[in-house]
Amino acid sequence: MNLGRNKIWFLGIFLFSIVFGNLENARAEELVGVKMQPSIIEERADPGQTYSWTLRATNVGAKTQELYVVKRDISGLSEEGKPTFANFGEKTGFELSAWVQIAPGPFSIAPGETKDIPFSIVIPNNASPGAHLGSIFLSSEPVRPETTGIGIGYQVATIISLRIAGDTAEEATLREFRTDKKIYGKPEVNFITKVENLGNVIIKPRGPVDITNMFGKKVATLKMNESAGAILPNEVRRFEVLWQDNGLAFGKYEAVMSLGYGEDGRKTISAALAFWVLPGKLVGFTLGGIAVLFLLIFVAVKLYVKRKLGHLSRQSSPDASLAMTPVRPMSKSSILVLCLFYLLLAAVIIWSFLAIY
Amino acid sequence: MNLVTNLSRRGRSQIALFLIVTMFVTLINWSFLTRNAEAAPLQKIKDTLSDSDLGVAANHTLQFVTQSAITASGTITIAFNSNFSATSSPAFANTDATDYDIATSSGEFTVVAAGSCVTTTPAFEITSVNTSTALFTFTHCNGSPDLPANTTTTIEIGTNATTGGTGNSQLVNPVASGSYLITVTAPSTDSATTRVAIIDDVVVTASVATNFTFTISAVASGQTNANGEPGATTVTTTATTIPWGELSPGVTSTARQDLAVSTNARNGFTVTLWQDQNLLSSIGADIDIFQDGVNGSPAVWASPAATIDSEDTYGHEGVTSEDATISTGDTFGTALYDAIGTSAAPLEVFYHTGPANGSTANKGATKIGFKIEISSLQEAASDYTQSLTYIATPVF
Repeated sequence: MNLGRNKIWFLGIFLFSIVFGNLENARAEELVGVKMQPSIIEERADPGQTYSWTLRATNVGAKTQELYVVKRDISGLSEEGKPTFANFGEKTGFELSAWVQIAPGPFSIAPGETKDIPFSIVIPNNASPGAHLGSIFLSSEPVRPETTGIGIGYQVATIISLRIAGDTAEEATLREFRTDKKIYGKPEVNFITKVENLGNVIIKPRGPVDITNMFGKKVATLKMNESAGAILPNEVRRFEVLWQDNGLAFGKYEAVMSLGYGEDGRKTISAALAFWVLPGKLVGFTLGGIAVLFLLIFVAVKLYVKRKLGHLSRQSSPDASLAMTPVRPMSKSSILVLCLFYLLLAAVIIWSFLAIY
Repeated sequence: MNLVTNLSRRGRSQIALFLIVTMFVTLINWSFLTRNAEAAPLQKIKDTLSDSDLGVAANHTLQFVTQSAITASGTITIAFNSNFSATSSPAFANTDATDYDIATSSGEFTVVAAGSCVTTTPAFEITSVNTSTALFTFTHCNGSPDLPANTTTTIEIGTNATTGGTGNSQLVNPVASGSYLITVTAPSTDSATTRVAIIDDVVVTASVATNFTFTISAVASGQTNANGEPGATTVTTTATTIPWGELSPGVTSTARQDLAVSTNARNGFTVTLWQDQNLLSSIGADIDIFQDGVNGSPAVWASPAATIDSEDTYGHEGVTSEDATISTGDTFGTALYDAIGTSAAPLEVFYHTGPANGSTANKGATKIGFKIEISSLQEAASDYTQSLTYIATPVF
């Protein structure tokens, strides 16, 4: 009996070790990743100087990671600010990867461990002034499987942006400032702008968009590029900001955008535009009211003119005024001419309304 | 003639009404159109501040191109928006000319206190300063050389004025964020306005406190497919492998990995995916990208065309993402698949425009789905392999 019970115990321990031993391996494969700090470095630098930083990498997975260092220049930023990485050896005009001195790795980092990776940037004496942009990646190389399947790797970047002292120029121009529509049924307006960097340093234009109604009252102030997205030299970047208002909005609105940029003095580029908010029901009610008003004016003027013409006619021909002049029916051409007159009248009124406001 | 006759009664009144209204409207528009004075605008006017932060003292450097010469007793007035304060201590005054510099490409104009005009050198006097309205008036010294037309003129107001003494007064910026007008009139018949943006400064933390965490998580088989793909995953992935195993013709296999990003980068992040090659076997046969080897726009899954002698159509593999806010919009829709990118053109699979917490869908977390299908024409092999790399970067 005791022997049987012991066998059960040994079997249980054996099974336990198998299950939880494999569970540990399974957990190791469930999640991999790394935390990088800092993820963005922005500094001013002088030619001929050396600057040092420390990259802190933390293994947030459950398995020891072997991470390698990869240096790459950035050849540009998309309109949304996403970096485009240059091919190895590609000249971007603002390279800096060759200036970076860092151990290539591999760095073996245990789960939960943080590794400090020091690096230096040696600025050449003849470094061109202005913007220089690059990146340092920590890379986990994919392991290609032996049977049909995919090996997965990853690279996490730290972006480095240096402004080299010298003959720098900060200059920008507005390429576009518009709304996505001209007429809105409700106050939900997307403002879009494109800014081009004409200088040789990175700029981060940002500023207010003031919205005023047709009475000149400011109804909102938005912030364009509040997060200070960057624009590389000779590049264009697009920014958007949305205006939403739960209150009543009607009529013509004006939006004035002013973007400040520059570190050697704050410059401003600005533009203005107009748009309309015409809620459907309100517009219908208003047009109906205007139509009734003009109808009343028309009838009143017509009666007045008819009376005057009749009076003039009686004065010039007293005998004829005693006779009843038969009313001739209007021809089709007359009706067409009158319709054209009414259309022109409506166009003139609408045009003047829009012009005034 | 018939037309005129027919119009002689009823039409006459219509025409009369039209003429009356047109004249009335024209009169109204004319009054609006002729409201503004007939003046030549100054060209290329701009103002550069030393600091555009709210409520701080700042120097101004105004620049414009004159349209007319400023001659004897001609004036330059600079009217700042009333929200600028000119009453900071020490205050601006027309008795202290050191706070102002006036220069052109040809040289400096001496700025003197009110009533101290000189004629031997080009000069202006600071005639008056209205500290309540932040209005500055400079008057050309009669008898001194003129400021010519079509001349780029720079006026500095503040401690940046260093000719003839360094200024000690500055204008204080408005305390509210906004766009503020400045009007320059030079001389009295020519004017223009420019705007300055007053905004709160961005707190610089980039070099120290920014952090970025990227993770890939495994997903077992039997779990919900990514991005609305019907059914469940057929393959158990790890964080570093997707083992397709043995593939059967006409049968799709699906897999999933979950991505997460945590960052305090102000402008967010992007994650792209690229492959080093198609799934390639040691015999040289490959399984192509979706769809049938052609990299088009994301599309509903379709079986490989299996066109004889068109090797690209024997089998294909695609990817989808559940992130509905890729930089190009909801590119992957519902269960739309695309080809995996290349190193030259990686495919964006995850994107957000601000800080992320690693857990909120579309902002810090998403699911990536992989799908594969072969036809009966796919060459037999057990080692179709490839490597994929996720690239995670902050948006700058």
